Amino acid sequence: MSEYKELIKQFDKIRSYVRDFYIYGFKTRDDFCEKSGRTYDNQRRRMESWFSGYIRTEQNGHKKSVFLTLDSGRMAVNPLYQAWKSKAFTGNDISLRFFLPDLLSDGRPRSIETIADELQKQYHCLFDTQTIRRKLAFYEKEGLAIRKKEGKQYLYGITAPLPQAHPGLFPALWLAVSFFQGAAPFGFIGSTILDFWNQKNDFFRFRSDYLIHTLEDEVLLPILRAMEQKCQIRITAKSTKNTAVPSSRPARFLDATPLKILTSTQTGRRYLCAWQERTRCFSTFRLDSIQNVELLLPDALYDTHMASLQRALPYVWGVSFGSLPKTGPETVTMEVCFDEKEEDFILNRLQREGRGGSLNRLKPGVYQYTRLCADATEFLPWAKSFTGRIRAFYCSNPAVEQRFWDDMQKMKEYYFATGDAAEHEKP
Amino acid sequence: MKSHDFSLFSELYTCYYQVVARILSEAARHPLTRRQMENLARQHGYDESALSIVPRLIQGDWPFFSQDGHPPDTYASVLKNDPFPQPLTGLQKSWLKALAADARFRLFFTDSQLKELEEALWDTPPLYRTTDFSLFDQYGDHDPFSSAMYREHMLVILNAICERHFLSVGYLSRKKKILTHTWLPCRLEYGQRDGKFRLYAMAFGKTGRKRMDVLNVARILSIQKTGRYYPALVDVDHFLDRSLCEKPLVLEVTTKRNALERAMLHFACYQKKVERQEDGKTYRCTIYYDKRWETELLVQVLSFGPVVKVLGPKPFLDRIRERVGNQALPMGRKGDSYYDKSDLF
Repeated sequence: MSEYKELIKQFDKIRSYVRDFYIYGFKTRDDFCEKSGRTYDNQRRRMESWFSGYIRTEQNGHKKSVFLTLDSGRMAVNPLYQAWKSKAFTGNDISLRFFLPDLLSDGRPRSIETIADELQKQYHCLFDTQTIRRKLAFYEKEGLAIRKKEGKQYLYGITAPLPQAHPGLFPALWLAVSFFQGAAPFGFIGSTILDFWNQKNDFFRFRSDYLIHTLEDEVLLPILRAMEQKCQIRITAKSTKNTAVPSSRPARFLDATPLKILTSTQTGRRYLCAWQERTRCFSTFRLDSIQNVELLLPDALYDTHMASLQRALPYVWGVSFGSLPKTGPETVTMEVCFDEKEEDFILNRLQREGRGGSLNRLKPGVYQYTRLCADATEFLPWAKSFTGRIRAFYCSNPAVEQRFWDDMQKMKEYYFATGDAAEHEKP
Repeated sequence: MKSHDFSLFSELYTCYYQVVARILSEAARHPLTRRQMENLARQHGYDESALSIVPRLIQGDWPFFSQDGHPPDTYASVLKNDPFPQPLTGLQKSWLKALAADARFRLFFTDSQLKELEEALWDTPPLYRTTDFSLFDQYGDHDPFSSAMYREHMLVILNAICERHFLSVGYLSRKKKILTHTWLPCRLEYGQRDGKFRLYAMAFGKTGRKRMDVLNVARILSIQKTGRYYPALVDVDHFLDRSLCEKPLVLEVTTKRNALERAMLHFACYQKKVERQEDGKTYRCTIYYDKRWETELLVQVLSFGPVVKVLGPKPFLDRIRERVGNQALPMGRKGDSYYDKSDLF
């Protein structure tokens, strides 16, 4: 039986655990039945160690749930980045990680043999030249080392740290990295830059920040490469529906041409928007449902698909393309009432959250909002956020209109039916 | 080297390397005791990292320390240099290059700094293109990042936060009044949903009492240094603790329409607790929130409709009931008010 270690070799093995601990939080050991109980125990111990300040436990009878909870608006750095910093390494890896830059920091390039000799003389460490060569090749691939040919041999040097090579960029660059590590895609990389400069973010916080996105970055990288190269991809995806309960549903394999990453700032989800030749329509896949991405051949019609997407996007409320481009969009209209003097924030909301819909003042205090939607069902959550102020709601798709009013009626029944809902409130 | 050949999950970024680097950095100044190493490992590592790292350093498995010629029980670094700052990897540079195309990036730099950075990264491909992403539901009135005045204000604010100096600010209030006041800028908050920067700035009342004000950076009309400095760090969170809710919001979430999954993701940014109810079909979600954002939370809850129900606290429930109670239903539906569709269309 292998010894427990804080560090791991493969990221995909812990991705779903981190997600379940953070998003759900109510799961107990019995709910993680895809792997053995010992695997769960080890992963739980890792979570407790990586996220120690944010781990809570809840005892319910003889079952204990361990979960990760935090207010993202208070975080200087996304704590989930810790999961990315858990890669295991060997003794040679860490030794050379510090000795090579220390030795080569004088700016004088050296051959492998010279490096081996000097490591022995200066640090009393013996490494075989093959180990050093492999490590320097790795550093060169990762952009840390520089190789140049002199005569018949290769000489290796190390790149200069930015703060030394460009002191005039600081502290501005440090501030920018502090901000973008929380506000840009692949923010984890920004946090590693702060690590490399021995700095921390003392200046910025991020409201409504969906920290969970970082777990999808590993699949996002090859998708972006495919988009850059205008390639098709093969996706391995698993349904995200009802992930609260263990599912034995198999993963699906799909071929698609990736076109755009659609990021929701309000629901915590990110999607890949792609053209599917098999169905001849646009599809979206939640990034957290994608388990693997494989690059295929370039798509000769990539630019055509992209142009078609640009034409379709103005009709898409969220991420659903409905039956576009086969059929036209649906029309949704709602009338909203408010006191124009006291409640001008409602008008602000309609204007700034309306995503290009048209707004007409029918009479003082009554505004009509209209928009074309590829799939009007997606419009419903926003419409419902105006509950209490909607005078009329109409949709060219009767099922959508029906659902809206059904939902309103159900809410009335719940909050005003027999008894008082407040009786549920625990003291 | 293509930008996407890099690996995100790499030993180069491992937490242990950073812990060891911090220990070596401290040891570059003076030899360390085991206790000092353990403290640094606890401060910068995972919860159990000290148990793995320090013995290997002490025993020489990771041969960065020597005891020769130093006081007993202390360990000196064998490195010649402080390991910080470290050179950036291609992945890190590639990320920086991608940021350069972001409209917000210019807010941090002068024109000459931008030019210098562009030259420093001239041969680095960007990790992604900003056009690859679409924030499809971000509010339409985000801050004017391209405005020269806005950029100028941001540079002054950033400098003032770093150096802790007071600023005299002319500000257009929500009620369209122009205020002029002296504030100590402490922190910037960025809202992903609305694309706005908010400045958390400390002000002193007439009695000398400190308070934390929140200013929309886009509403700042003028800004200038006062020449006065504040000697200490300001604990912004201490001020914010006062606005935390006394009683958390309690919701009942069903599994219909994938509501549990949607709600848990939606409310993931809050501190929360979720419990499975005995019926196995509903979940009780307790959310701890900042009272300043209560209306925003209320709107979010309403957007879920009947699949998310408010159980308490009573003031929040009353607000929900008021909204639901005010909602008219079409004629013919069971409810306390109605509208006649024929009047409207």
